[in-house]
Amino acid sequence: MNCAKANQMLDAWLDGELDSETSGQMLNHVPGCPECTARKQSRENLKEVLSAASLRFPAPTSLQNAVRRDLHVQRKNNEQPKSIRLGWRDLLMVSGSSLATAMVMIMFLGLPPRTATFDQAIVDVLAQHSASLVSQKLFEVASSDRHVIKPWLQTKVNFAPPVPDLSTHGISLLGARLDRIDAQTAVALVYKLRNHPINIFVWPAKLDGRVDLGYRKMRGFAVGAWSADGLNYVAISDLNLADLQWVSQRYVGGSE
Amino acid sequence: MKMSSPRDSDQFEVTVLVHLDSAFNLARWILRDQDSAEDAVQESCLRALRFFKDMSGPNPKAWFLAIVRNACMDWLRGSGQHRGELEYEEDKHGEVGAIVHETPETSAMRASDARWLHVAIAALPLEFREVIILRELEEMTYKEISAVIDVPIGTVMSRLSRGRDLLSKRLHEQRKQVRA
Repeated sequence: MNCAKANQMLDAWLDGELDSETSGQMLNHVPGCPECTARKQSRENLKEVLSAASLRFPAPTSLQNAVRRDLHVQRKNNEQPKSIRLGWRDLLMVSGSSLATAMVMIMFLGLPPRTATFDQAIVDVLAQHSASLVSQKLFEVASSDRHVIKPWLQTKVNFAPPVPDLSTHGISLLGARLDRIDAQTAVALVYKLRNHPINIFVWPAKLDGRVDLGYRKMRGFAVGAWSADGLNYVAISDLNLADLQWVSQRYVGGSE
Repeated sequence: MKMSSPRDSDQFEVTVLVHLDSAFNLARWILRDQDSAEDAVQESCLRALRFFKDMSGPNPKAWFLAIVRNACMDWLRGSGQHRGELEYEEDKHGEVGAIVHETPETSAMRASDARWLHVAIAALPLEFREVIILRELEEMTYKEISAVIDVPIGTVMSRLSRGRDLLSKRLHEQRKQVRA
């Protein structure tokens, strides 16, 4: 064993990666060689410093939750065929009350005939969402404070969409703006999960009560729609479907 | 998607998801960004779940971290940073482990070690950085590391050696500075 060879083997030796024969040769050479001993000492110093500093980044809670959610969704998908399920009661309630909303549902079920009305609404939503991303103009009022957003909205529209504070779920409020959806004035609330903006469009419906219209991928975006208490809601984002659904549920839950 | 009985996904939790901290740690050090690392690891978990049945290699941790590393590489490629990886900016990232000057000398030294080490490791070129993380923080064997980054064991050895040389040099300079 010479210094050049010992030099080459030093790390593997200290990491316990050498076979016993080569280890024996290292042990014969290094202690008697000042140069190699110095190098070994320097490695040991580094090791000590590295293990004393806490350098690990633990998985954040938001990630743990997201993964758990994904696993849960996978499990559910394996239990039952993938489809949007609505009860008959929902169907009756919707068809009995509002044509427009019924059409929304039909569209989400993917059944013909599609109606101009809701197709138009979704086309508007997609367009507005894309435009807001392209123009970087996500909001007219930028605030993470719902007590700023709510009064601003009250001066602009004659309905009051809920603006829950979802920061405990890692969903931050960025602001709000006004858009046109289906020839009506709609409010767009902008939230953010991790670095993904989520637009939630809200505009008046003729229906009272609660209907879940489902979640689906459209042109690469995740889209979810529901209506409650006389308002239509469409949430849209580049998040995956499970995350969008989770965010929407937190929004609905936080609104109550 | 072809997977998985409920038992499979229970199995998935105990064999793969127990390494979520390691997965995030690796992604966080490769990408040097909290949000991207979260996204990359979430994506990796879905991939891992999909291929869980075909799991192979020295052990589940190495298998999972290989998936995470691939996802990170995709991420870097996607953001146009591969090869021409962005220069690490000390100003922006030097906030870790702030130094408290009033503490006794040894603990101040330790806090200062943590701070400059973060910066020094983050500033290492990716090929050295990842082997340092896998060996020093994840305590993996050369064989496992070679499975994660898909290079021969000899290459793991030489990269680790070179990475440590670079860090030792920085440690030496740092100690000189502190004494001066």
